[in-house]
Amino acid sequence: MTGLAFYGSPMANQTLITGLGGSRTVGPGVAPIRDFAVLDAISAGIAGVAILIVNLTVVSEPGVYLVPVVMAVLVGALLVARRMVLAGHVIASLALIAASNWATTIVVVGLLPWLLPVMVLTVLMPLVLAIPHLDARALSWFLVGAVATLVAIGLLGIGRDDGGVVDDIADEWELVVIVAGLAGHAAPIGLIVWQANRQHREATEDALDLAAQLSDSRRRLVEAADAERTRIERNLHDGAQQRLISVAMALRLRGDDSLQPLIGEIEGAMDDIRELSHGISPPLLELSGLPAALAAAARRHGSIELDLADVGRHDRGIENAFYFCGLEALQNAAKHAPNSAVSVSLAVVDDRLRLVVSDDGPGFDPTSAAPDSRGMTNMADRLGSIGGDLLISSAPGAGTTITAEVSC
Amino acid sequence: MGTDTIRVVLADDSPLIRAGVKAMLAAIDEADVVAEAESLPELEAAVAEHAPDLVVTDIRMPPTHTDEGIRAARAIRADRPECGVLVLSQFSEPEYVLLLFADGSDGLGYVLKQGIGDVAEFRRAVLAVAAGGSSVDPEIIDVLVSARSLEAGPLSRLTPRETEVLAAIAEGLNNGAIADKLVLSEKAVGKHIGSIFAKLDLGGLDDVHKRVKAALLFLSS
Repeated sequence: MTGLAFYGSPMANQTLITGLGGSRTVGPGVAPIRDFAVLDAISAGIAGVAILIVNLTVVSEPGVYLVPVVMAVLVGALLVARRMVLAGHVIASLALIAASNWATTIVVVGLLPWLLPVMVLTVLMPLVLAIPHLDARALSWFLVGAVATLVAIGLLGIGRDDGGVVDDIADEWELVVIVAGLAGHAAPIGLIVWQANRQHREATEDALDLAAQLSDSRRRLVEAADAERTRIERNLHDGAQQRLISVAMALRLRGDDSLQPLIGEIEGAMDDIRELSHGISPPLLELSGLPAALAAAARRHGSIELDLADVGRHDRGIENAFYFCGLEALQNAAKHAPNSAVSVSLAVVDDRLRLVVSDDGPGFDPTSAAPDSRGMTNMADRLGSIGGDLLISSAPGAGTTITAEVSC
Repeated sequence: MGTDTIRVVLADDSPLIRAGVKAMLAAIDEADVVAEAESLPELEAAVAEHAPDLVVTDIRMPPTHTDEGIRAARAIRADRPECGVLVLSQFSEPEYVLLLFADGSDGLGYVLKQGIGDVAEFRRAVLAVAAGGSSVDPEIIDVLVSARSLEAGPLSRLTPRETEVLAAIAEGLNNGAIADKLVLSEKAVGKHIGSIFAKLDLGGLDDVHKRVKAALLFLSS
C-alpha cells in the first residue's frame, strides 16, 4: 500500500489562498435586499393601483377592494424592511419581506383563487432572494415558511372552479390578469438573477485577484530570501574565507613545521565555511545550471546514482526551487535512510521539468505524520512559489521517492 | 616564451590574496610578476599591454563577481595561444574545472586557493600551464576518486591502479611525475596509460589529445 501526499498543486493553492481574505466583507452585502424591497414595493403598488382602477371601471366587485388594501400593507411592510436592512438587520429584513409577501399571497388566493399560478411565483421570490445572505439553518426556516405558504395557497386555490369574490369574471379577463401578474414578476425576479450573477462574478474575480496577489507576494518573498542568501554567500566567500585563505597562505610560506597544527585549524574553519556556503546559495547553480549543481550536491552526500539530463537553463526561481528541493531530499535520505542506495534524476518530460530523488531505505507511512514535515513543507513552499508540484511517495519498507515537477 | 623567465599577470580583487600569491610566485625562480589587476577590465588591459606568458587569476572579480576569471581564461586562450592561464579558485567542485575546460584544457590550470602554500606543488602547476599543458588541483581529483567508487560507466572498466594513474593524468602530471607520485617505474606508467587509452577507446588520437580526453572523461563522468 503506497501512500501519496500531494502538496503545492496550483488548484490547491488557490483554494487555500481564497480562504485567507479574512478582513474582507463576506457575503453579498445589503444592497440587493434594499433594491429588491424597493422594486417589490413598486410592483405591489402598481398591481394594487391597477386592480383598483379595473375594479372601479370594469368589475365593480366590493370584495376586490380588499386586494389594493392588502397591497398597500405589503408596500408599507417592504418599505419598513428596506429601512431595517439599511440599519444592518439583514435577517429581520428578509423575514419581514418573506412574511409580508407570503401573507399577501394567502389573502389574494383566498379572494381570487384563479391567481394561484401568479402567487406561486410571489411565494418563491423571497426564498431565492434570501439564499446568498443566510446560513443553512436560517435558510431552512425560510424554506419551511415558503413550503407552508405554498401548501396553504394550494389548499385555498386548487380545485376551486369559482372566481372567488369575482364570481362572473370572463375567462379572457382572468387570462389577462394572470398574464399581467406573471409579467409583473419579471422585474423583481430579473433583479434577483442579475444581482446574484454580479455577486458571483465579483466574488470570483476578487478571489482570483487575491490568489494572484498572494502567489505574487509568495514568489517575491522567496526571491528576496534568495537574493539575501546570495549576498550572504558572497560575503562569506569574499570576506571570512578570503582572510582565512590569505592567513593560511602566509603561514605556509613561513615553511615552519611548528605552524602546521595552526594551519590545520584554519583549514578546518575554511571547510566549515565552505560547507555552510553550499547550503546557503550555490554559486555553481547560477553559473552552470541545475545538472552541475545537483551533481556537486549529490557528490557531497556520498555515492549516489545520477541520471542528470542536460535540461538547459531555466528561471532563477525554478532553478533555486529545484536545487533546494533536491538538497532537502538528499539530506532527508542521508538522515532517514543512511546506507541506502540513493538515485537522483533530472529530465524534461512532456514540457515539464522533473526531478526525482529516491532511496531504498525504510520509508514511512505518509498517511501518518511525515518524519521530517518541516523539510517537506519547505520543499512544498519552494515549489508552490513557482507553481510547481511536489509528490512524495513512500511506504514502510518500500523506500521514499520525492518528485518535483513544474511546467517549463 | 623565453627559456628562463615566465612573465606573469596576477589578478585577484583581494589585496590579501594577491600579496600571498605574489609571495608564492616570488619563491618560484622562473616566474616574474609584471602586472597586477583587481578586476576583469584591468586584467584585460594588463594582458593587452604586457603580453604575458601566464595569467594567474581569481574567478570572482568585479564587475559582476561571478565567473569573470573563467570567461577571461577562455577568451585569453582563444586570442593568445602562447599565454597560459592558471585559475585560482575557492570552489572544489569539478564542475568548475569542466566550465574552464569547455573549449579544451591546453594551457589551462585550476588551483584551489585554500591549498596554495606548497611552493613545489604551485611551481609544478605554474610551469605546466605556462608550457601549454594543463593542471588540476589534486584535491579536486581526490573528490572525484572518492565519489566514484560504485558508479558504472567506461571508467568502471579500469583497475584501481589504472584509476590512480588516470587521476594523475587529470591532474596534469607527465609520465615521470606520475611514476614519482605512485612509486612506479616510468615504463610501468606507460603500460598503464596504454591500457587506460585502450579501455576508454582513445586509440586513434595522438598522445597529448588522448591525455586531455582521458582527463576530461575522468572529470566529467
